[in-house]
Amino acid sequence: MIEERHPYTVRLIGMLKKATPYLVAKEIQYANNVYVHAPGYADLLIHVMNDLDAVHLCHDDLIQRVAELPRDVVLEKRSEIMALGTKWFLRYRLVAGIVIELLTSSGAWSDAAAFSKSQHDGVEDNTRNKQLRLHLALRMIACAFEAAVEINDGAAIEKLGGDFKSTLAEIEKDNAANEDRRDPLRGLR
Amino acid sequence: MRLTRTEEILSAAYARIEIVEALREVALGGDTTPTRLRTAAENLDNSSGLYGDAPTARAYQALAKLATCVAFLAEWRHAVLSAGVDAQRFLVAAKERAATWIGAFGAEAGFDSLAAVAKQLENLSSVSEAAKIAASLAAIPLPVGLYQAEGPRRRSPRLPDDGGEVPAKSVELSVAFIKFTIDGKPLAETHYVSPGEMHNLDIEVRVSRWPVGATALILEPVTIEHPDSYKMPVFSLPAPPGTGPFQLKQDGRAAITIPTHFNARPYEFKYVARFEPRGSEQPIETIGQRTLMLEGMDLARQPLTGYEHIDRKLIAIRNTLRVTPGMIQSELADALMLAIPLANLAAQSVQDNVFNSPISEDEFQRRVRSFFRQHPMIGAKLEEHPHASRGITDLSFRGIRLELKSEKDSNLTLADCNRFVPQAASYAIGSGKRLALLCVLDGSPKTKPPFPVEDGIGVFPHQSTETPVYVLTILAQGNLAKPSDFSR
Repeated sequence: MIEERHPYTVRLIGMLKKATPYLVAKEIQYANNVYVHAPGYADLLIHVMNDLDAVHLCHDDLIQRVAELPRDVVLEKRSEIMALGTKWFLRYRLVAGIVIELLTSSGAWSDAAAFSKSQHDGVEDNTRNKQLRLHLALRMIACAFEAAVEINDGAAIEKLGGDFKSTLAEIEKDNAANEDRRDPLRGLR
Repeated sequence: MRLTRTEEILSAAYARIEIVEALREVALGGDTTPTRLRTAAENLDNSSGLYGDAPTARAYQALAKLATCVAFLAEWRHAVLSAGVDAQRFLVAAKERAATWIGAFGAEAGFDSLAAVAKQLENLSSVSEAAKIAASLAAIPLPVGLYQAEGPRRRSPRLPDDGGEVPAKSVELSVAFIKFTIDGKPLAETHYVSPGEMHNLDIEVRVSRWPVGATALILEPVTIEHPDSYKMPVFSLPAPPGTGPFQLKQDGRAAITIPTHFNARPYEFKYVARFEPRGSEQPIETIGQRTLMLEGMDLARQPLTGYEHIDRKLIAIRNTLRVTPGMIQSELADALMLAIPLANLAAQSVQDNVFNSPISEDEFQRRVRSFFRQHPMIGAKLEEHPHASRGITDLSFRGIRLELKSEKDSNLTLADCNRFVPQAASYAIGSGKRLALLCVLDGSPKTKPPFPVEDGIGVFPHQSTETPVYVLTILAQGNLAKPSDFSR
């Protein structure tokens, strides 16, 4: 039992949960190897990730810490992790992508498909969001594809394969149509 | 710790979908050659490189390798069903690849389903099982990878040379200056050499190793002195036999051609080392004392006091005070202007017993004043009784105060004069100086022979705060006994 092997670490994590989150973020940043296998670490990380100051100050490191969570912990805390992805989706899109990677690598394909669909559907379908929705659609199709593979749904696999190709084609078409507008050196060449 | 890149690369992983579709095609039992599956496997294997060290990369590689095995199975099935030549070779290839796969990926966490397929493939015996294996593989979901990741940075090991041996760390190349001797005497901090004469300058160095291809070690002086004012040797030490370290000696000749003034700083030379030819490895480290401070005063032609030992003592005092922190050089020059005649008077006192009886301090001052007035560089510039620090000083020259004392009863040594130092120091401080002079006449009756005059000359520091004040003290011995009395 890890509590027996690391009693002080477990107690320390309990104390850190009561501390100011952004200070804890720095502690995790420099000593994550100490905590990563201790019980309660995922709760502490999720607690810190829910704090605005902590994420603003240390988002790169905190996201990396979330990406390193063990598979069994991800399965156990999947709803909280998905909530994190939803919360920070607009400001830190990397969080949502990491959540998809975590869920699919932990075997939660149907959860990943549902999460990615909610992300896609949560973005209003207008011209401004078209590019974003196309990329979110790719994520959604990829997750749905793996979920279909899991249940061996041949029809869905065939359909989603086609959807993926058509979405890729649509992205290329969109890029070609807006090539000039999206050129960072527009007017300078 | 991994580092996740933020650029999304999902669109590049289309080969994953392609491979599932190709596997399903094989599973459906088509007897065409599995070109699509083989191409999809290659594409997926190539795409896995985009993910760097992310877990997705490993999963895609594992799937691609197994899909290649299934492609061989499909070829085997096609060859068997179409009575092709030597169909078994495809099966052997598939089984061998499966065995290799198990060795490479079988033990990794998360690859249980893939490993199960690989084991099925390894134990395959019937053509009918090929479709089943393809279907099983097509039904295994994989992680969706979105980002590239970098693994922790590792220090790359030192690679051996072509010879296969790690090169030994080379011995540091250094030249250590061990000893300079001038006319057989070890070099002093400031060494006196009489100008216009040739002196022996011998050098001893230690070289850690001899560079390959070097023919000689050159030791040459660098200086900012005028080239016509000196002749310093350039030492050329030929390559010694054997392996290092080496201890090498060479003799040379040095001369100061132009004498320096008493108030001028000494000549300064620094010896540097290099190997010849120029292209050879050069010393990366030079150790030891290699700076020569040569005093070039011509005391024979321009003596200070007329007493050589006293001159040398005064030069030593000057050298010490010159490098004292906070010492103003003009102040030191003025003090020495007074000290030189005073030292001469002290020497006369011993030589001629000028003060042959105890005299009062006033009488001593009158005679010293008269002595200074005769000195052409002092003359009228000598002041008497200027006020300083609530007291009246005895004599003064350009603000340098001279305190005079006359002792009639007890014999004095230089150390005994220390009790007069605070008074002289307070006059110096009151006059805004850091240097004062003290001259003590020991007129007490003597029962012993006099001591050398230079032993009665010294500097006493007086320090009540962090800034010291120096009192240059001269003890004049008077009222001497007859030397013949010591023989009775």
